[in-house]
Amino acid sequence: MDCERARELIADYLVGALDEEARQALEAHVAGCAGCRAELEAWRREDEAIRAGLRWAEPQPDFALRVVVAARRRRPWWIAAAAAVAACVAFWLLRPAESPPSHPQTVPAATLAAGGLLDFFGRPAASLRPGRGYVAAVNTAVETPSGSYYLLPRGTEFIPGCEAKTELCVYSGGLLGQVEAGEGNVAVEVAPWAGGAVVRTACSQFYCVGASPERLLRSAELPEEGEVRVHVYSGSLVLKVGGQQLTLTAGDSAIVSGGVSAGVTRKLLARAEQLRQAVSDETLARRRLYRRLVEWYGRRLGQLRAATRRDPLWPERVALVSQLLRAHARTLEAIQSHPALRELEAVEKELRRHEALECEALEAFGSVALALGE
Amino acid sequence: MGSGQPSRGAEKPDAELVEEALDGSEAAFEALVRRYQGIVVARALAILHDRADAEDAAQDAFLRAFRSLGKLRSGEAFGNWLLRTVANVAKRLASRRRNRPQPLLDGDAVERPAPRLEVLEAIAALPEPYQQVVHLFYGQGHSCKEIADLLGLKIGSVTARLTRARRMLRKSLSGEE
Repeated sequence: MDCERARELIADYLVGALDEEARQALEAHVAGCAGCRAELEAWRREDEAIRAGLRWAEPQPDFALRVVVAARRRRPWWIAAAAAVAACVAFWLLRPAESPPSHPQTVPAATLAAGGLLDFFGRPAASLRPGRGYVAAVNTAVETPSGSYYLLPRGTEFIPGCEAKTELCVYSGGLLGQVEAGEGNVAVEVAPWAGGAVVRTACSQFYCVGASPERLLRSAELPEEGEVRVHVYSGSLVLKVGGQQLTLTAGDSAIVSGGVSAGVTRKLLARAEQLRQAVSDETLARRRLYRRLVEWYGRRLGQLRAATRRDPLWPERVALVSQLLRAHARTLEAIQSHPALRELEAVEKELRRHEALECEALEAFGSVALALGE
Repeated sequence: MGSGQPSRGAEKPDAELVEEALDGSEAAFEALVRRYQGIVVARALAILHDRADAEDAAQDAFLRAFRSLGKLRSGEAFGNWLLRTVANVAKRLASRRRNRPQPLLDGDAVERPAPRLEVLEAIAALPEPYQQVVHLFYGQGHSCKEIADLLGLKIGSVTARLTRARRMLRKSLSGEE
């Protein structure tokens, strides 16, 4: 391969578009040609500059959420109003003549659409299809297994197949529990990556949106920390996240952070694994051994010092144990001065913090989840 | 890489996400925002040279694009269409800004953009289909195969676009033009 051909192929080589034979030929040429090597290096530096430029241009982490919230705010009012009118008409046309069945039944998609179900853009959700999971709800936004949120306008009373007083009823989609009429309606929108959330309304009704509360932290694919988006349409809401309590009233919206992202934890676990591989097994075993020795001699020294106060024979032993403890501590320090081990220590510490936060958040959600079953 | 990058295995092609967004799925809407937020802000930054203005323009572009999503002929064209929208929004904002009194800046700062801006300007000068693959490859670290799946293209088209784009970037960044 000559230099001209080699330089023509650099772009293909860098994006991985060369076949094995051409790749090897180019690499062989570059290995023996200083000019082409320098050219390849220049391309690589530019690649890095392109990556750095695009990284630098990345927006703030909450950009996507801000866009979603802004989109929600810009829903044209007349769409909601028109749907509300349509829903009221549908209610009078379709409400059950006798007392309705106590168990919700599957409702055809067309009936749901007539009930004024709106999609995210505020349009009547005529395209809802049976089998994808659909929801009939009033004054609330709920998430279906297909990952969509649906919103019914305030004033809609059309709930086929449900008792008149029930304001919230789910035919499929995994919503647990119900909120009674007149006690305040709360809509909780769980970020798609969060999996689920348990909330408590001011009137002490508990319900869960999404999946089981355990999934809130465990199935998270969060960009940073755990986030739950909450909107209150009427009444009020007490939300407990990670030991903190937040009271929201009608009209409030909030993005609540708490817990730890499973994604971040996974990255740390992977890094810890990499670091463990970078450090030899022997070094890790020696660290374990000397940690135990330091711990054991530290404890023993405490016991001996206490015993010395009672028996004059102990001081020599105290001196000996103290000497051994110092020697082992010095060895441990020398082992831990390994750069990869030092980073491993920091990563392990951060992982312990994640574990504590996760327990705390699970505890907070767990207590609410228990009340759900009462 | 953006903090909002979704996991690779769960990523759906643009066409599928556009269809779901049209069905009213907010999750699909958000997934599209997360996929394109980097390139959209980068495109606006290349025109406006100001991060806050660029994010405003990007947000406006997303909202405009989603309001008229139904007019899109095919979901695969979404990325290119969005890039044209943000360029129009940013240019309008820039012309409005030119009519405002500007603070006096150091002459050198006005003449020569910072190296990172220079890169963004070079990318913004590429044809839209090229910008899209450059962003997915260099910005989000996708492989050519993954890009082909996401955009509904053949892998050969992706590598061809990418190498042509890279040669064009080489020319503009090394001042060979």
